[in-house]
Amino acid sequence: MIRVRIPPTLRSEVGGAREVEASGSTMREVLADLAERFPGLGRQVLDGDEGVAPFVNVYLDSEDVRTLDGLDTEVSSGSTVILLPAMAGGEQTLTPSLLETIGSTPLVELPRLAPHSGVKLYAKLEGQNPTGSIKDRVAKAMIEAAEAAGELEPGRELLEPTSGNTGISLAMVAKLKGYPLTCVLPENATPERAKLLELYGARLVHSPASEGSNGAVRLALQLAERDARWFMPFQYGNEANPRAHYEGTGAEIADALPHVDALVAGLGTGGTLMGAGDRLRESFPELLVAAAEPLQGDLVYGLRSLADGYVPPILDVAKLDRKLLVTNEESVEGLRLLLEREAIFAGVSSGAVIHVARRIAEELDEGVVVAVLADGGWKYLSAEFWTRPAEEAGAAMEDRLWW
Amino acid sequence: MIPAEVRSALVEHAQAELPNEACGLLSLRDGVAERFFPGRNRAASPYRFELEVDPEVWFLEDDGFELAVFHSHPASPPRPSRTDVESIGLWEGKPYVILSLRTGELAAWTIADGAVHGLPLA
Repeated sequence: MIRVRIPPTLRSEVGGAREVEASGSTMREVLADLAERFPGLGRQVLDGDEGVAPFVNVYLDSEDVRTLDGLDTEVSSGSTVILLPAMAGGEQTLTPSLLETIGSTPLVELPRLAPHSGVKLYAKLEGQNPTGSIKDRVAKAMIEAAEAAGELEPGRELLEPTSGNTGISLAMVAKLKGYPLTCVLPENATPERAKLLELYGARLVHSPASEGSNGAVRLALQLAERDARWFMPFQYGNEANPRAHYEGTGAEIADALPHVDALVAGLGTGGTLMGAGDRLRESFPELLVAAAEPLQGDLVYGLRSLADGYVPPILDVAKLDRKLLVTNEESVEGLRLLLEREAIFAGVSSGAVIHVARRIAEELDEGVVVAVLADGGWKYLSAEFWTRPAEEAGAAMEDRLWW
Repeated sequence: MIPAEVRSALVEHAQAELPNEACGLLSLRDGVAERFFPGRNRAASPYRFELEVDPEVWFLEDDGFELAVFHSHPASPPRPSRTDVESIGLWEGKPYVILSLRTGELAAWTIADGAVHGLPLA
């Protein structure tokens, strides 16, 4: 038998006893035995099936089991288990670095956009990251992975092909960590983005508008080959990109929802779809992962049409259950619906994503659909997508890079 | 009431732990603090604490003592933060003492049902 000492604050759960007996050969078994006999104590001590509840510490003799093997700690007959209040807190009025504000974005229900009451539609608002896009996660992850691997150290400079958001995120992270950054971007990137990059301190090199994002990638690769001082994170081929979404975006959604039937995100580098998709599949094996993809030649710029010729190395197309094609007009329509019905001012790719999310929701009788909205609308104001006639606004997407 | 010698023990421990938050337990009898038991801040952070203290101290209540949880706020006033309120757990309604190292103020509280109440401190 194992002796279990009960602190005064928990004694009401065991009829006032200072100690009780329990059996089991591991701490998990001991606590399960206690929970069975004293359900009230079980609720205070156990956090679902997972582990010890946040407000209780468990000691074996005089050792906190967290310093031993946790719930797998072996418990022998004659030993004493002590349950204690776990006290934590802290002033937390300051955030030590802007980098720590990246992620943990809101997941908001969109009841006014769900096609019928059986389906719940949620939006992960990535525009709430410090520079206003999901790419903050990727930039931080790539730079910190390179630092940890010894590939990036003081004195080196960063180079990245980007039509906007990734560059702005890299510029923020690079500034805080003290690395100069040069971005290669197509001449037709939106003026807001080029301006923002410069304001954040990035140096700009332009690639031909006619070659789109692929042209920027090509030029950046050429520059990096010529000069060893450049370190190119290269989001299209960097495993830290999907990992940021596996450990961040995906894990946050899995923590927030008891069940998810479908995940919808834009197809850019593939990082969100791969990383968050993998993580959510672990929790919800039947998950459907759907990519919002622009029609070939009808580019929701920055969203990438696979038919357009470039498959990012981190993208495993086999992991996409669905790829739904979206026209520019449909993206504009999605963008306006988000603002009109849910008061969400989102960026262009989010219009495509919400269009696809609603289509998938329509196909379900019941379920939960999560749409990842990559950025806010601020960087797209100059295009007046919200005010021009829909057809005209769709057509206006053709000559600029939006992502 | 927290007598001068107990108060100076709190301050000394809190200053020794800077820049991190310090934490511990106070034993009281009839509303008077008798002794401070310095804890270890398992979180070792300027913004967080996780109290680790000799388990036997928690059972002093069986010997007629009352206990108060103590921690320091290195940079903010001695009022429970949102994190403190959310993390109160089993210590609902029990004495909770905070020392601000910025202002030097010591204050006592109880936290219950998400609300904070001040306790007079002499």
